Amino acid sequence: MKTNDLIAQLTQDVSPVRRLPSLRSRFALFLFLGASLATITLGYFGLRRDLSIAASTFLFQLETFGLLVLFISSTRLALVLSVPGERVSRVQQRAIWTALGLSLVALFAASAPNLSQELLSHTLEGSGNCIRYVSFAGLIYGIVFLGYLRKAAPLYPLRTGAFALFSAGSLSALIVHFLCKSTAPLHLLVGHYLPLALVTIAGLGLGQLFLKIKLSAR
Amino acid sequence: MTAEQERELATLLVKAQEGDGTAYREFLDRASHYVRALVGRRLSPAQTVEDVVQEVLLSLHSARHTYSPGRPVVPWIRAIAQRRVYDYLRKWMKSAGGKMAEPFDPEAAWHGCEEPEATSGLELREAVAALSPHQREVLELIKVDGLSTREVSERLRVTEASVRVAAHRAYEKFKRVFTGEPL
Repeated sequence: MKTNDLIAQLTQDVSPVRRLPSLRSRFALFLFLGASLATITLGYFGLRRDLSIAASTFLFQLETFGLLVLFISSTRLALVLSVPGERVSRVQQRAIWTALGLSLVALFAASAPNLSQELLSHTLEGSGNCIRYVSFAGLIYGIVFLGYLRKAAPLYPLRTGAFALFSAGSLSALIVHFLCKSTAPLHLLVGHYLPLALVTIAGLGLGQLFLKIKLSAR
Repeated sequence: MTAEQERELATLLVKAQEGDGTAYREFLDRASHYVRALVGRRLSPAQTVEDVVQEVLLSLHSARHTYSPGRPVVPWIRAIAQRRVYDYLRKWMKSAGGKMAEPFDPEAAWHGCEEPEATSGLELREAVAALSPHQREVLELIKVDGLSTREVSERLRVTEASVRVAAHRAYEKFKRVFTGEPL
């Protein structure tokens, strides 16, 4: 087919398109959805009983702040990446993966000295609820997010998918942080952060599957 | 493209988003000239360029709702075009490792506007196989993504000198294959 014929075909019966909302409104929408999910979940299950004591500790504050920053920045990155021509800071992208990697390494290093087969199976048994929540809530919210991103035109499906699912996973991990009172590093590793990493990895595949820009008339 | 031309192109796209077929035709026509020049600097021969231009136009069509009025239109078009060129080259690299799907001169692609010479699939396979993964990656970043030596060195976390050496060796290998010299 000649290019002129293609242009004629594309412009035939062209109809008005609904413009993508601005980055600010899309960002606000997903912050609102995240806050709503957190409110509903915490309202349903109830906050951890030791929250008033835990909230005064440095580690609790650090983890809360860290997960919140990761959720907000990865949400923004996924939204920015879904629109062609928007500039994305490489430093910010690397910082997110570095933060996840460092959290996993730090938790593994803290649990390694006492690690045994028995402790691991005991922790796995006791972490079922946290694993399920971070994985399922992360995946469901992540798929909703991917569905929304699909309406844009992501040129980097793998990366966009990974950031979208990482955003969903970090939101779930943040919610679980307010539900689960365990502070054992092995539990945090197995129950909170490994599921977050797995949800992110799933985002690579889901991104490739759902976010490829279609080469056809919409 | 001048600032005035870019403004006109943006206006046409905004009208096209509102359903104006004439403006859309004009937009695609002008965009295709710009895209052809952009793609032509990276790829050859002419048929390959035209195929990629058409893919870019289809992508522009699919993504036209993502353009926000008031934003520069050229980076929006360029991002889509660069991605499609990259996709094409990635496919080509894969096929060159096995069986060449179509004639394509990588040297002309790297160097831009040179007229390609007829090249056999065997030579191309040999040329690509002769590159190390690092050399291939460096070439792709410089010639496809349009990064500078410094940007490539930052991305790959190697020194600028190492990037220059890798690119130079890759060009040399291509040259030797196409001139029939031993590798």
